[in-house]
Amino acid sequence: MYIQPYTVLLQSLLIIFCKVCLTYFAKQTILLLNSLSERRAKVTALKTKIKELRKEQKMSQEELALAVGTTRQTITSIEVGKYTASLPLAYKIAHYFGLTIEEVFDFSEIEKGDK
Amino acid sequence: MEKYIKKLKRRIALIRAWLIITVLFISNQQFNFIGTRLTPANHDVASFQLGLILGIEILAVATMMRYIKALKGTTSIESLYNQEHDERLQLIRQKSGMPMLMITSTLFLVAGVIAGYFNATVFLTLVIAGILQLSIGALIKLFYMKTY
Repeated sequence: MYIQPYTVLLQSLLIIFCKVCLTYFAKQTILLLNSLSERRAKVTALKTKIKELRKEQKMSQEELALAVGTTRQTITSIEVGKYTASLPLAYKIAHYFGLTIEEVFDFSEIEKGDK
Repeated sequence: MEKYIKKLKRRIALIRAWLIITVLFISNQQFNFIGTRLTPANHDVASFQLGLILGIEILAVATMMRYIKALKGTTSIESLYNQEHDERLQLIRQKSGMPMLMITSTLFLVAGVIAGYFNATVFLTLVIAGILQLSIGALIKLFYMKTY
């Protein structure tokens, strides 16, 4: 039976490609499992006063997001305590309300953990 | 913001070029303008290839329309910029393996389309692998969007 060379070449390239992707997937799966186990021990995201401050100024999440250069979904996640803002974003939010970072974000859980 | 506007315009130009090339290729496959055309492995493969290319074209057109619409106003450009550079979304993309996953899946699909002109089995394998990879990536991304 005549085996066409390009078929063999294609199949060998496919095998190499699949091996590379399988290795990549295995690594991603390990990282995912590690992050899942870390989540249980992880400190929860910081509590904030952003919702109250926003309501005082009768402002929507969309308006605040646009003002500080982020998305509405991120503001929602920060408000419910699912996501901790980075230092630049925390500074932008605090600066927008004319307050310090400590006045907007509640660090009492971290301080309790230190003691 | 000026740099970002230039970036968007460049993307629109690239998508337009891609659309023109693909339309010319498909037209030649149908009407044989230049006298030669590639023959797929079988009729089913040809139909699948056409469907796949059309699907990619529809996505490309939708993306291009989104960019053109965004370029019409300052608020929409800022909103689009925020979506692309948002730290939470970047974290989610990083954790779900983007952009590597997208690149490898696209390579699988493109390789599958090319392989379709030689071997139907290789074509199906590559396309299924690409679609499976995209689906898994989407599921992981959804999981992290709910987590964060």
